[in-house]
Amino acid sequence: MSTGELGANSWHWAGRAMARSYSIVAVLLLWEILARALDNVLFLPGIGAVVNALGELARSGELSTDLASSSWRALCGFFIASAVGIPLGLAMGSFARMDDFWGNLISLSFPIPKIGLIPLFILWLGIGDTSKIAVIIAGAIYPVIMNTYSGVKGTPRYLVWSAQTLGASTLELLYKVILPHALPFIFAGLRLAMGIAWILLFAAEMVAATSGLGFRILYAQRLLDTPVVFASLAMIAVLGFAFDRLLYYLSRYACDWYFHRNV
Amino acid sequence: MGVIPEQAAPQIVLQCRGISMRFGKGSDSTVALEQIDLDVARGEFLVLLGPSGCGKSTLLYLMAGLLLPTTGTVTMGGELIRGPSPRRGVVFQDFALFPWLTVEDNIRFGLDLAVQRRHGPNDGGRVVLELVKTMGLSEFQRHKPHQLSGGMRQRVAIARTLAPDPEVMLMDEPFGSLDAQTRAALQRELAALAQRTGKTTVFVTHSIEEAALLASRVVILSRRPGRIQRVLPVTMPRLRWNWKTEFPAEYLQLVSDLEAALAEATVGSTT
Amino acid sequence: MSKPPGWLTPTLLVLTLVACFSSPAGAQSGTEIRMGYNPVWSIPFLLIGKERGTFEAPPGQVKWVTFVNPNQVIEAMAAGELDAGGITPAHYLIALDKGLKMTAVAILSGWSKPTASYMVRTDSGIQTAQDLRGKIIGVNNYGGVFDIYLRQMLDKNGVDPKKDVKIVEVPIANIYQALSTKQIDAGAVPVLFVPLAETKFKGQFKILFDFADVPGIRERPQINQLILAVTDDYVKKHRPALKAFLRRYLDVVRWGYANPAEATALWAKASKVDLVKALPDPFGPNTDAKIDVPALQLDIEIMHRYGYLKKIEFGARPLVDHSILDEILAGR
Repeated sequence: MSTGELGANSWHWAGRAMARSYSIVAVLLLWEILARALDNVLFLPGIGAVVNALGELARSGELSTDLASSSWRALCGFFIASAVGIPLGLAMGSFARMDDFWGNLISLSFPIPKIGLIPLFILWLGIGDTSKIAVIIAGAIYPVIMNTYSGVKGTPRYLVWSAQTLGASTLELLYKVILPHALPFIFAGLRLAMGIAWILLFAAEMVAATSGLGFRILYAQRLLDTPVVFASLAMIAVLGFAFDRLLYYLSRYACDWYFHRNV
Repeated sequence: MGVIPEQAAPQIVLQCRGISMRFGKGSDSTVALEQIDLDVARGEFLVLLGPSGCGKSTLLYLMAGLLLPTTGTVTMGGELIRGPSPRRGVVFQDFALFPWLTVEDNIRFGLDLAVQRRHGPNDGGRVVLELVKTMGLSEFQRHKPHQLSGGMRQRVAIARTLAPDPEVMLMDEPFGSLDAQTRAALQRELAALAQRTGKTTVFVTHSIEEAALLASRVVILSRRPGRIQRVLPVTMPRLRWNWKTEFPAEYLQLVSDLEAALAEATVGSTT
Repeated sequence: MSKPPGWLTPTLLVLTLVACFSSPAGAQSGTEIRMGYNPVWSIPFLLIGKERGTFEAPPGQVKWVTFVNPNQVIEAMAAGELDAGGITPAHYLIALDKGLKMTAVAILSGWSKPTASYMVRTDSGIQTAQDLRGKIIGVNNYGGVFDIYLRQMLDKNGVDPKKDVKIVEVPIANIYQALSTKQIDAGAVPVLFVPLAETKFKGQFKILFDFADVPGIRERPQINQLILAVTDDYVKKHRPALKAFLRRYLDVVRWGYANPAEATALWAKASKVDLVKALPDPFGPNTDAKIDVPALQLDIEIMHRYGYLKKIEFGARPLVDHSILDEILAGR
């Protein structure tokens, strides 16, 4: 077991957790100092004002509604993008014909900035959840497909041969060897997809929505309520961080072997 | 030369006739093997020996069905080989274990496939257990490959290949990446296993010592394009670690013959 | 490669920080008024004056800066990039609530007989404000008069504007489109566009209610739609220039009321909205360009009730400053 792992040395772990938070504490301190110096709640509210705003949002129930709306949209889009992207990436990596058929389409559509498509999606699909979920799928599916594809292409020949000489058919090869081996890459793609999902979600919510953290930012901006803008941004950061960590720990659990491969 | 006349051996497991292998096309191509005629008899321990790049691994993969020959045929029991099969198990140099599976699950991989297709009996558990004991892996059943030493991993690879009970076991320099002591231990274990079970084995190596220790027959291939340089039968018993005391002359003669043959093969002359 | 001197990095860092916090480019030059406005807004006399070039000559010459939303105008004023801006009374009050240093000095557009209307599809089955429960309603700006008074109407009819309906931002020009494609179920339009429901859209839409129906609003004689706010800084430093500008503005106002036909034609040309010619009362009641203070005070009460304002009093500062206008009107 390498040092620094959970359980190996709990003091060490606590010390590292503290060291990782120094930069955050430093930023918070700098923020408070600047806020007091500027003394302009429109430009830079102090930490107290932001915490108050957060408390207000929580008390009025708007925070939980916003968190629920945003999370629902982001997760729906993320899951659909994964459910479509992973099999597509697997197929494209494994079968030349699939690669030929889809390859150019994906390469051509990938560079189109999905943020720019938001007004179009809203026009086509309305201002409800559907348009936002659609935008998210449109953006998040690319890293899933491409990373899954990379993972498949990187399958060592000897693993494939081993499976074949043990009697595996093409289908068995796909889901018993290629898929498990590509899993670390798939997770990398999923983490990227998650980040993109949040970005697109908030961009879409700032264009047209009636709930969600992005909407909250738009609305607060209109009413010059900077503390609420900051509070919402903080919530966005927390949400993004939480889901990314979730995916990370999931990947550690599912493909622990990959993290130990050079031991 | 490599062909075994029918009266001499009761059963031929694999037959290679007129094998040649060309990689690439046109002026960029290389000829790895040329005019190979070789039989593999049941129960023998056939060693393919030769300088680097002589195509011995290629020949092994052709026997496995992982590659298809440019010309010629490879047959098993009279049937043309068209692809890989669990009847021709392969052990690779870098073990090629499935890193996400435990030792136990790696070994039972082939068996599970057979069971799922209802080809094999569902007593895979018993077979696995026996192999685990035989290969000395009892303490490590639930370990993952990255937690094992090189020698252990190779034992798992061998066990995995043996689990579906292949008719022939093909091994591509399996002990090449191990340290000397582990290699020696595994050579002994393999020799004992092969002798006890009578498993037909084709073993690729570039080490004369290994060939001398393990083979019941040695085929020396010349350097590229690979052809059969010489075939040397070995009459010493399979388990020959006591050669210094029991039959030193025979052993050293074999080594010297192999050295001479290998030197010829490296220079490039063929008989 | 030799190492740079040790003092270089800290110096660069300090310079960068200083550059970030120093006053931005576009600083005010001389007596110029940098004014934020949106050409599509209903600001007849400002647009007429602009069209005629009334405000070009110093002192108090106008530098026009276009913005899309009132909150952006206020932010620019607070950042020192603008001296004046046309904003809604609601946004002005929020700015005061936040302690920003600006004062309203004149009105840009106002209504008597409050008549902005909320339209619905004729076939939608929506008959009263209560039927809006669970529906989507479009307004042009959060915090604008359409938004605030809508919430007042809903609230007085037992519909919670935060929980029972969805209110979205839709530019006025797109309201009818959004209604017909069912993206919204109701939308607010100024009196200007109400006739379009019959003429251009062939009766697809009907009026659900208008400002005159909203309790608390219908009792008022007047509504301030857009007012002119000026930064305290500018008033202090360039009061004569501001007076010069307001003098010219008042001239345009008086000319407009005296020559309504010609004025509305110019307004139509400047704003590119021909419909203004059909308005029965195009310029509203504020012939002296003054803001209606009781109407403003009523806005404070409504906004405070709905949580838009935290304070009702803004300290010693007066709500509006009509002193300059008073001087001009008294002939000084």
